Amino acid sequence: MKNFVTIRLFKAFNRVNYYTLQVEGRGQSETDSFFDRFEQDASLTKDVDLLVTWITEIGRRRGAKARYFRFENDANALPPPARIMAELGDDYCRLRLYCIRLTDEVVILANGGLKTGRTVQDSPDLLTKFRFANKMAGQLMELIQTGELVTEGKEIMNLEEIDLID
Amino acid sequence: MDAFDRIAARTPMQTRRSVAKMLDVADRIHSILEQKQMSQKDLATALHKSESEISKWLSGTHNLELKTIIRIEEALGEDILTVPQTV
Repeated sequence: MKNFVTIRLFKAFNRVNYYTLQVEGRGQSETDSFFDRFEQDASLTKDVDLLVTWITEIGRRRGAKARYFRFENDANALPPPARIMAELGDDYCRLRLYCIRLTDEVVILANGGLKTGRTVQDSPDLLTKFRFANKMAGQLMELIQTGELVTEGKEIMNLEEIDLID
Repeated sequence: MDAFDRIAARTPMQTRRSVAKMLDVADRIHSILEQKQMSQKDLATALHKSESEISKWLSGTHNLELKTIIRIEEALGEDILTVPQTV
């Protein structure tokens, strides 16, 4: 069964508006679900704290420059590139939060999970979230190309008219 | 207050300062490279390092040693870190 997915504002900072995705019939947005899930996990406190700090720092002071984000096919992810994380040690940040970076001022956060294997395919917790983010990214790119999704500064202008399909 | 805000509120100041400083250094190096119309490859060549090593340094997640920062400053001919002077 296909579900409609809408976009709504998640957090607004000086430099970046972060939006999130709300799947029809689910009680909370994808990003709220991610942070709710990991907030109380004592083994991942440092990891989730780092993710929130990155999102906040980029949003408040820097803007969502492409180099701050990992490329994950059509989607993106935080924190930054796996190669770098690996060199800092596997314990640096084991969480991945998928997102779709539209501009330096507009980022749509999706959901994510714990990276347990070397690749996303080896990490069952991540794979469905990776596929969902890419599915949404593909549709969003099409909407941008056809002019159905327009951003102006930090805003997505015609937010209420946009429906995605999961 | 949602989970994101609660996590932000509990995050130690040291984590926040650390992320901000590492990004400050990376952004400053990027800015000098742009200003001098240099690429990461140019910087890698000047420092006899691989481009991937430089890319790692400029990610904003790498804990650069002071001596490495000084080497980059010398290669770029610009200050990256400045310390307020007390008279």
